[in-house]
Amino acid sequence: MNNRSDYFSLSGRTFKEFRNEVNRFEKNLVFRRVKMGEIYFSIMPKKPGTGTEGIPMTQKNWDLYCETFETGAEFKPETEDFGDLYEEDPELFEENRVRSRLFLTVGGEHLFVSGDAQATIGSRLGQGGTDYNIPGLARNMAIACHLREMPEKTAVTLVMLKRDDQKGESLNGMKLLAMPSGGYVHIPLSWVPAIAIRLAKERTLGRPRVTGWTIDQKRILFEMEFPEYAEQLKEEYGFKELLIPGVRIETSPVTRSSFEVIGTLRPERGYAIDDSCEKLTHRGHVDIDDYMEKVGKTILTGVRKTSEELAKKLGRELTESTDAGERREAYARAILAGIEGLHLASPRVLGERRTKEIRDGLIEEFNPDIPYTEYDIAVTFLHIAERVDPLSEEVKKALRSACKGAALINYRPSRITLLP
Amino acid sequence: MFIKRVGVMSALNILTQNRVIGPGKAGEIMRMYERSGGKEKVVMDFLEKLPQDAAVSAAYRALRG
Repeated sequence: MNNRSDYFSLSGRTFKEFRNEVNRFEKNLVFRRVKMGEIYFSIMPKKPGTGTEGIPMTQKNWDLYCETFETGAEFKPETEDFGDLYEEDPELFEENRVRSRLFLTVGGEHLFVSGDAQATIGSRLGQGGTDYNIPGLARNMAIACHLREMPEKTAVTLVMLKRDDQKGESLNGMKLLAMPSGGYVHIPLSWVPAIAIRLAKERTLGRPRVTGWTIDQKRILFEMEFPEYAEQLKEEYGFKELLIPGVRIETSPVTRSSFEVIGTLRPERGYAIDDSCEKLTHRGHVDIDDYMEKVGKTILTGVRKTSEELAKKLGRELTESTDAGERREAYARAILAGIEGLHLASPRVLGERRTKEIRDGLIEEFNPDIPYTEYDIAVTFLHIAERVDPLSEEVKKALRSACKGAALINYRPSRITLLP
Repeated sequence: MFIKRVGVMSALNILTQNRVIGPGKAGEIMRMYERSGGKEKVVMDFLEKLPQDAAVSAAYRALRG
């Protein structure tokens, strides 16, 4: 398939293949910042077989057309020869006739216009985007009228795709993929495989498995899952079936969306649902390290946070004191901090009477030989619903739910309000 | 092999509770394990250096889930 066609699409399941194809695609992308006054559009005739001999109407023609329509004068359209584009790529030329029926001229050089570029052209002209996807008289009139009203100095960015073998500065024969604003900042497509590698190398979620990738002119998409971590989640949270965390990395060469890293969760026998998302817009300064830092703080924190926080708590002893009395006091304070922080005394969880019983039972368990850490207390609360009897299933459920955040509590409080 | 983080934490906690190592050391090993990207070797190498008593055996068992 012609890799510049609107219908170009590749997909696969191996990382290496994906990285090669992304690099190949990106190598052919060209960006140029121009002023509105430097460009104009020509409209292709719909009738097949007319080639370039029809009447490609430029913006100027439409100005004339509007005037002659009002005054009743004879309309003499200007014509322009796009035969060079036909010779360049007859297949793409015919596709252009069906998809956008537009050509772009910039600095005297002729460009194809992708079907998907129309929406961004509409946006630049201050109009709703998707209406522009339907080639026809209404769209043509709208482009002509709004282009006439735009200040000539307004900057736009041309996102173009050149041929594999095209060299030099000339834009002739390139294909316009999108026309974002002058402030558009390209986020390299190669970030997608680079971020996938970084996430895989971090290995905080175990070894990844590539589940698929797609490359077309609208979007670049890469998906991977972490099946090993699903086993851990099952154990940690007591899930009945495997819930597989995954990551989807997505960007759009035609500026349809921001650059996105999305955390997903998929039941073993089901569809993935989006859990968390970190977006990066095509504006201002973009830096992969800054972005990765944000990704680390946002993506799948719901399933990572508990074990990450528990790991931190492992090294934090409740007190440095060796005095048995002080150690016991620190332990009791930690238990009380948990009860208070998790709101266990709330009538919706255990209520005050039952909470006091549990509190006393936990404090009673203190063993002076053990150097307790915050981890011990957090784990105690995480498993408390399974240890306390007799509790109805309903209360156990409420207790489990309340104790979900046990890993996030500070068990070394400077001050604690004691229960009466 | 990917060792579950919960397994590593349980193993280190067993060692701490039995006073084989202090909490500071446990935290240090945990950080080393995380920095290595979850490599089994980090924890196994550490366990091998310890006197092989009942607490260390229990830690091995916790590690293997």
